[in-house]
Amino acid sequence: MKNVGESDQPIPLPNVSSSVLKKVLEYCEHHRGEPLPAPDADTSQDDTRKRTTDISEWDQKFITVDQEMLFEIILAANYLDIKSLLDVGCKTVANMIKGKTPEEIRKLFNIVNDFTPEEEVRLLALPHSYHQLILSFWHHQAQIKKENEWAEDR
Amino acid sequence: MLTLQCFSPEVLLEILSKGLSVVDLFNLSRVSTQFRQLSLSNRTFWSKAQDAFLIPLPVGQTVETVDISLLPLYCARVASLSETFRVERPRDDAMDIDANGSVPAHPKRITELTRHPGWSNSGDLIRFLKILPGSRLMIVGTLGKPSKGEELFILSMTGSYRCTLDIQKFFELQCTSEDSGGTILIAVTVPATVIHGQFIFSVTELRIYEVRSTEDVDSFDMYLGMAVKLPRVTSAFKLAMNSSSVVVFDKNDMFFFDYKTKLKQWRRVGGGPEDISVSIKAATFDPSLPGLWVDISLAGKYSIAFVPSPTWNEIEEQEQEQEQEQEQEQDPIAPSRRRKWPKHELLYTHLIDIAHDPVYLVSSPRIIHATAIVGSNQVIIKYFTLTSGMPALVTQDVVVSINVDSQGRAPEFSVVSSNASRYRSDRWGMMRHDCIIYKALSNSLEVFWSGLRSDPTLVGDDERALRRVLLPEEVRAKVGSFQDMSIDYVHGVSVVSDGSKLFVLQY
Repeated sequence: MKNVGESDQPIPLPNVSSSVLKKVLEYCEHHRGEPLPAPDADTSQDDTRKRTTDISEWDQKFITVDQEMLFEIILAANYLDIKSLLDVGCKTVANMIKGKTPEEIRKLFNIVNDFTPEEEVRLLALPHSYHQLILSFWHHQAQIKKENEWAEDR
Repeated sequence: MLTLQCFSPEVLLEILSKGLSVVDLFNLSRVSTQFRQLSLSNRTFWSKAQDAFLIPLPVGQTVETVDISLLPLYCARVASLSETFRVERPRDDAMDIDANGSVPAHPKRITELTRHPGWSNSGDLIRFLKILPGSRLMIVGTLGKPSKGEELFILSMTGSYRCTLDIQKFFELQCTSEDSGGTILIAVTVPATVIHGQFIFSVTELRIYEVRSTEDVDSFDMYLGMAVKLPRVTSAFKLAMNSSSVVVFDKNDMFFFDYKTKLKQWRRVGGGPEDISVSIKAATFDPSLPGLWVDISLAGKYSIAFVPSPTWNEIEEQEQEQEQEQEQEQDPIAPSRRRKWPKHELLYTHLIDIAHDPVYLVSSPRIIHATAIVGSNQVIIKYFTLTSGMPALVTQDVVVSINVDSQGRAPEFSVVSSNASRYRSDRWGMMRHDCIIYKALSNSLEVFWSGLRSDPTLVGDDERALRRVLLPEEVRAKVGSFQDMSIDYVHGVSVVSDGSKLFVLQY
């Protein structure tokens, strides 16, 4: 928003509905005056901080909304580049995913399972031992080697 | 209606980077074709997992280099092992569950190495063992007859290839690898001597061995990459290691080394008057932060502090030169040693007080574990989780209570080592322990893993936060007295020893 300056012109927000904007403003109002989060530097320390899933009490209360609203807030925060709000929204979704099976995730987020039956069987086959895993790696490497040899022959 | 699928890949990756585990991501990759494609097209999907270090990659590979199409397979293995060693009640009721709600983990393969024709221990006592990163090799210390002395050697997991290190005895040993065992660095502190005029002084020597894997699954190349003698005024011998960084420390001194850049620095406690009685008890690198967690004691109180890794830059080097010149002017004795070892004050940030003196301090990304043995019947493990408001820490205690008999002894409890110098007690007679705890119950032998091997996120009974392995009956029957154990929880391999026999268990 800082790039907009002090213009009286209305700022179009086609992707944000009024109810969502109201929530976003409520968040901004509460966190007014707080220091902005550090810019996205890929230092290990920042990375460590970003990975945490802890949310402050007020933020937790604020983000306790229905799923539709939660997703709208995330989209709005992303569109308006409000990093701290995007962070809170993403942490909330991450917490919802934690510890769930694929079927539970589908059910929770209303996602259609669009795998073919063959794909599903393949996905469910877990390697049972480290040897099996290593074998699959060597098999794959050998396949790549063969493909490369054939490519060179051509 | 908005769904998770409406988000752009950037927002989805933002969500995935918020503390999800490899198993969570693996489950997400099996939700729909959209998530499957995201998982197969973007390494960030996997590398952002908070426990990405658990992915059992092939030797010589990293998350950045491994074929991305195989990553879900390796993560499936994480899920499979997590099932094997899980301690919470499984969802599948058909699974065999014991009374405490855990799934007995039985190895897929058990190999008794002492019977392998390639290696026979010929009666030597196994005093130390540790699985090296990548789970293809292990390092074993044996104590033979007095004339034969001690021996430290690297042994392939099949027992068919071995290579002896030129070490008669050592104080501590640590190892790391950045590419799942492709190149392994082994840091060892050994006793050494220096001669000054007519006098011989005992010092500690740090040796770093480099072990490189070869195409042959059983063989490897090994050479001594670095050998440095510490100044004789210090008694430092304990080790902490991360990547190519090594710290040798004792209660007052920390010697930082970087194997790659061959830089070093000496830092000593005691800059200010309040620091005089501070002493360092334990130290561990944090894989996600540029520094170490240290356990310090001050006037009988124990606390955890953070020591940032030193920065070596030109300005500091110049300052060191000036300092050396000044010191040499003041004290012309042994100038060469002073030139080698400029000394700096140890800087640290005090973070949190802890009630007990930990015997073991270890750090995984975001989590510090401090384990203390209280009296003869309790082991307390404290978990400190880094929060976004660093340096605030949140603690969680796990208490393992041990039954004590009428004489006050705890016959069914022991802490065994697989990490430090139980191979030979050090020159101060101290014994240090890796915290693998076992309880020999009447009908089973339960091994609990502390440190990196435990799972503080599990809620419920205290003990449930420890990962549990029931040793299989066929091993228990052959193991006389449980002596030592090393577990690679990434690859699902463990080695058990009773002092004379070695069993490799592959889960």
